[in-house]
Amino acid sequence: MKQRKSRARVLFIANILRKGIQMDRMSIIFINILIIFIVWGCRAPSTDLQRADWHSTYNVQRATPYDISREGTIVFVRPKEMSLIGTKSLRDYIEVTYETTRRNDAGFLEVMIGLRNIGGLHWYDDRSPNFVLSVKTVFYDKPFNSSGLSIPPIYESNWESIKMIRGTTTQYKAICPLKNGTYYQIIISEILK
Amino acid sequence: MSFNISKNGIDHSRIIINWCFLFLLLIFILTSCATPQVEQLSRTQILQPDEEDNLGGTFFESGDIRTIATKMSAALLSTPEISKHPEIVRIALAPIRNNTRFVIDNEIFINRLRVELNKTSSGKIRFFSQTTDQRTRKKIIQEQDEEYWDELINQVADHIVNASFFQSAKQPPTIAVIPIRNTNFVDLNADSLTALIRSKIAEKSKGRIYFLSREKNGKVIEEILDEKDIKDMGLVKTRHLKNLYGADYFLGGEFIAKSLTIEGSTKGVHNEANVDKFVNIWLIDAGTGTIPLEKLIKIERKMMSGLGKSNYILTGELMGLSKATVGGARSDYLMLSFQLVNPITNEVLWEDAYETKKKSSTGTVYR
Repeated sequence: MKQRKSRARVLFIANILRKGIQMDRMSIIFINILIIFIVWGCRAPSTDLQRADWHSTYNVQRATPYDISREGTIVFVRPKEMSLIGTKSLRDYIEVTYETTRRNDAGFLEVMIGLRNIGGLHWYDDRSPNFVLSVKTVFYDKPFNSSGLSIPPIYESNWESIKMIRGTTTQYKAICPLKNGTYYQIIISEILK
Repeated sequence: MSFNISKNGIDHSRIIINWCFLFLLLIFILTSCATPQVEQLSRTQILQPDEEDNLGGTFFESGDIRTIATKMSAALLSTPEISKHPEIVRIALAPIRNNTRFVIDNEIFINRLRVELNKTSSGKIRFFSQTTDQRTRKKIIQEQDEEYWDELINQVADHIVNASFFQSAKQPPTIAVIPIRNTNFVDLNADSLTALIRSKIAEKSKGRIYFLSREKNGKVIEEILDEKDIKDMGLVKTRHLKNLYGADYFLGGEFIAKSLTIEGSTKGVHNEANVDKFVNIWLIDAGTGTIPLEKLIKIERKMMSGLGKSNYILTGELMGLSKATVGGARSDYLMLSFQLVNPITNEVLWEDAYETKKKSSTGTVYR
């Protein structure tokens, strides 16, 4: 009885293998993809965390050197939400009127920028409210983005709230109290909430 | 299992494959559009000190206090009085005067500024510990002073043993130890100190100096004074009979507090008083009553606050202008100014201020 069953099983598999050759191309592709998917999903955990997906730990993505090298000395933090049409960022309402640096009498780097509240200048947004921005400055002793590699700052100021009055230029000043502070980046954000 | 075309001409296998493909594509699209969930598991929210808390209030926020510290420290370090000073600048902190309607801890402004200055001045500025508990410091100084006693006792013993009149004495002189008296102290007992000095002299003299032993183990003053009374009464008139005293010299002294003020007692400075404490060791000639040898030693240092070394005083003033409506709406203009003052000339060398104006429709309690 057992011998008959095993013989039927062998014939069945042989029949599938023989007839399977007659399958159309799409079926073969689908089955191949399915096999790859199953094999990929069931593969042994890789020790290379860079290629990990379903693992207990993941590598954090790093900023690309290209993106860092493109960052300027004044940057605006992205808004809470992006919009497909127009912008939800207060960046649209401000412009930088001046940006100056100097060494003061004590030898400290002093950075001054002028931020003007110009309001909405689009057909779909003509509002011009007063609002509050948070600004901070980060100082470096080396060029922080020259080679596309970011370096830790030597000093950073706290977030300072500055009121942006409609049509006026507000001056923001930051001094690095360390003499080796040479480079800087000013970060502007909507009020921290 | 077959993927052939069925009798009615429909290729079932292709339909199944197409549906499966669409299903996989849908799953792929849905999983790609997933956004991270920012969950708040607790009712307590963790804020960065610069963040707004949405509770209202018209006084300085934590972000303002940090901004004040950042700006003022940079401005202070830029002043020529500090940046051009050739040595370390020592600053004494005077409390901020609060002239506003807000009842708050005024120290928070100056403490945050001190933290910022200590962080950024790279050792150029030094402050004094003016608010912390000084008891531990007092214990450390006291223990260090006590450790130095051995050295002091050695010095006194050397001074006495090497005295010329002892070196040239034909017979070993006899010394009687008398209690050290308190000049402007109360409750100070030096029995242990005199006992240590006595044993050290005996050790160093190697039998060239004798000490008088009476019943009270060195406390012979009463008996000696009794004998002196006998002398005063005329019963003993000549130096030849001074052996009635039994001593050639008396070893005594007095405690001195370096203080003009009398603390804690009408009789003198209390032994716990924070003053420099000295003991003046005398060697008194029993025959003549003169003091041929004395040695002044400091036994306890005054615990100094250090403020005397201050180059400048940093102080400030908090002022405000408040408005309130019947409905509870409030507005406050606040100005916090800092001054750097020369303690000798009382000149204001530097001043800067931080201003803000806030209004709120709700009342908020500050603590």
